[in-house]
Amino acid sequence: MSCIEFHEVQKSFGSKKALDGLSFDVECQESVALIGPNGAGKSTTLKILAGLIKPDSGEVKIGGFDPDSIEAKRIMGYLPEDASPYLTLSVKENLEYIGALRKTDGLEQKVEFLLNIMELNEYRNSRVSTLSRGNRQKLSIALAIIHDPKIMLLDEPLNYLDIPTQERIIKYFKGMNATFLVSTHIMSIAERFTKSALIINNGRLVWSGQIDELKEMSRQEDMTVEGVISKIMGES
Amino acid sequence: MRRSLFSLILRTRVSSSFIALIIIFLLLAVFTIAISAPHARPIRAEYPVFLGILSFISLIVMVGSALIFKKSDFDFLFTSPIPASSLSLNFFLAALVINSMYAFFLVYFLPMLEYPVFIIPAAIDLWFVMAINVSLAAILRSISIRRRLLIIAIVLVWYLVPGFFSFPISPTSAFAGYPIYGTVIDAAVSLSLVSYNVLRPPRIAYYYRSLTAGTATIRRSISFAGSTPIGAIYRFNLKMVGGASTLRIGNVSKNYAGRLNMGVAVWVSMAVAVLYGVAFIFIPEAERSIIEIYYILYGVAIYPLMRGINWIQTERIWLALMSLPATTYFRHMALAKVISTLITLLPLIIVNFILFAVFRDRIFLEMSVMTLALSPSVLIFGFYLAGFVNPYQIIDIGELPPSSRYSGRNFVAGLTIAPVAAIAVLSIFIPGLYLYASIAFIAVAMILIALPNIQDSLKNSILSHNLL
Repeated sequence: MSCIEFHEVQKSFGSKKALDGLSFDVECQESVALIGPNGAGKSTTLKILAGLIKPDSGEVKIGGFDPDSIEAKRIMGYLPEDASPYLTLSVKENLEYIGALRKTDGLEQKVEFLLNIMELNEYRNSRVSTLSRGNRQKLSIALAIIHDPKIMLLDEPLNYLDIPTQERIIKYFKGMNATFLVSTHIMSIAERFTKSALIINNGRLVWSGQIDELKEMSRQEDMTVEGVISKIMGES
Repeated sequence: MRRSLFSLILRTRVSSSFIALIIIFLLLAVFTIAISAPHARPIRAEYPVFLGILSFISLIVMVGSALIFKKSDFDFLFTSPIPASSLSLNFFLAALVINSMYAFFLVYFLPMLEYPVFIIPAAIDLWFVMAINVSLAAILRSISIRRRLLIIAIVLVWYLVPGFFSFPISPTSAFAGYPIYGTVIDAAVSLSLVSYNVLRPPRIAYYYRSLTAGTATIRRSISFAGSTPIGAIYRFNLKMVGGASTLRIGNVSKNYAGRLNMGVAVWVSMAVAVLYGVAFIFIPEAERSIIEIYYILYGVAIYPLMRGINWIQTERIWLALMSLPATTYFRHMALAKVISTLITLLPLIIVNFILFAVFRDRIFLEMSVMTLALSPSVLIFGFYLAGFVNPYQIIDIGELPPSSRYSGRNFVAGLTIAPVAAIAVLSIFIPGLYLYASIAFIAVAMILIALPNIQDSLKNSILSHNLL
């Protein structure tokens, strides 16, 4: 059983078809990048996996459970793009509330740990609305991982973060021993984070394989990896 | 540390000043009941006015959908392992607590209506009606906005009917001379709807779908090609009613808020004006004052004030502030909205002139003049009030319209309706007052527009809350 199963999923929003029979599986403890141009269906895919929206058809499982189920949400951590913690609460309050509702063991220690690792200690009692975008993103990441999820769904996780912070977070993610599905349209993030890639365009899977394969293709065709991906998308 | 779901919902939707207001209203309600209970004062003629106010508040609750969602809920709360029933129950209870404020506020009016022995059940009935409104708002959320408005309109007519006819089978008949019937209906309807909401919790996908539904293509757009910035301000405000704005979710931009073509708004206004004119022909002269009061309350006070207050949440004002001086931008925006509002009110102004010609009653002339003079002035008050009292552009700070946070400041902005409406209503009944009120209102509005300090202060208020 794969940790993430996404089979023949169709999803439309009015007349716009966001997903057109998209299918893929992610094995447990695998890290996979979901790459695609704007409007390809990446965020829609993650929202379906997170249980926020229902597909029109198809089968979706998270750890063998329906994404909408309590069991799936216990093991899943979701970081949306442009995540927004509760603006009128402080940093610490956000962590305490979400951690409590996710029944995190040793919540107090976990909150302190995350405040330290995300370098948010000096902002612990600051209202989120007063934080910079980068610090809000750090808090959002902390909220997504506070309950030690086994399956992580990340949508552009490193947006707004400076390079040292990006490295620190990637290192932490790699130590989590979890399954990752990372949506991004920036290849350098995918390369640092994951070994496999799924390229989608117009709601369909157009390529899947190892990132090393893309690098090899770029060497053979004397193109950048981004150029290779653009070519793959253009051919689909 | 104890952090419950209910406290999270309440703390992120209501400021402490608003909680204080709820408590104050509750205490005032208890005080009102206590001192009124020994006195008998049944005055049937007041029922339509009270039911009108109650219906307007019900409209606000139901159209606003009572349940306030934030982007943070979708980002972190709805993806937490919380049973849907628990989420639904806690959101619903929070909505009941927040909207109870209206019930406590309205208790103040009860001594005008009821025999003393029924004042306590009437106070409870008010809370039942609020519970009905909140429950309906939650249930209607899954329906398209047009059908929702139609159902709400039917419900509001049901609320209003006991005020004009002897009709006992309505949730509001408790306040119109049918305390027993009304209380039984209130209890039955509210308990049924509340139970439905509690026992049949919607799935998270339903909340998300209801939030994103209706974001389809724009059927008719405006071209600003060739316009100057000032020209664009007028073109937008004179072609559209309401605000069209965008919210970026991921890489997709979605259009939100109401965007109604001016032509449609004028047609609606014409229909209302015709109904208004016809009402005067068929309603006995002794009962005309009720319609006059409604006209003044909604047409001259509430409608322009709401239009003035709501502008800030849907305008991309910080973009315009970067391209125009504050004095230029705010003055022209305010004037454009005044002209836009007068256009929508023009059918009513014309009908009042016609009624004056037909009935030779000075009150119709007064209402025309007040609409022309007071409505724009009231809009200006709301325009500047919003910028100082609630300067947040909801779109820009990651909140989703119509979600917002109940705060004491928001409520203060709404409370300005009271003195404005009071002066406007008194102007109907006190000869000559309408002229003085009109001149005074126009003068204050012109001062607000003219003073450069006010424009600069408004700009600083908006920028400091949104960009820092």
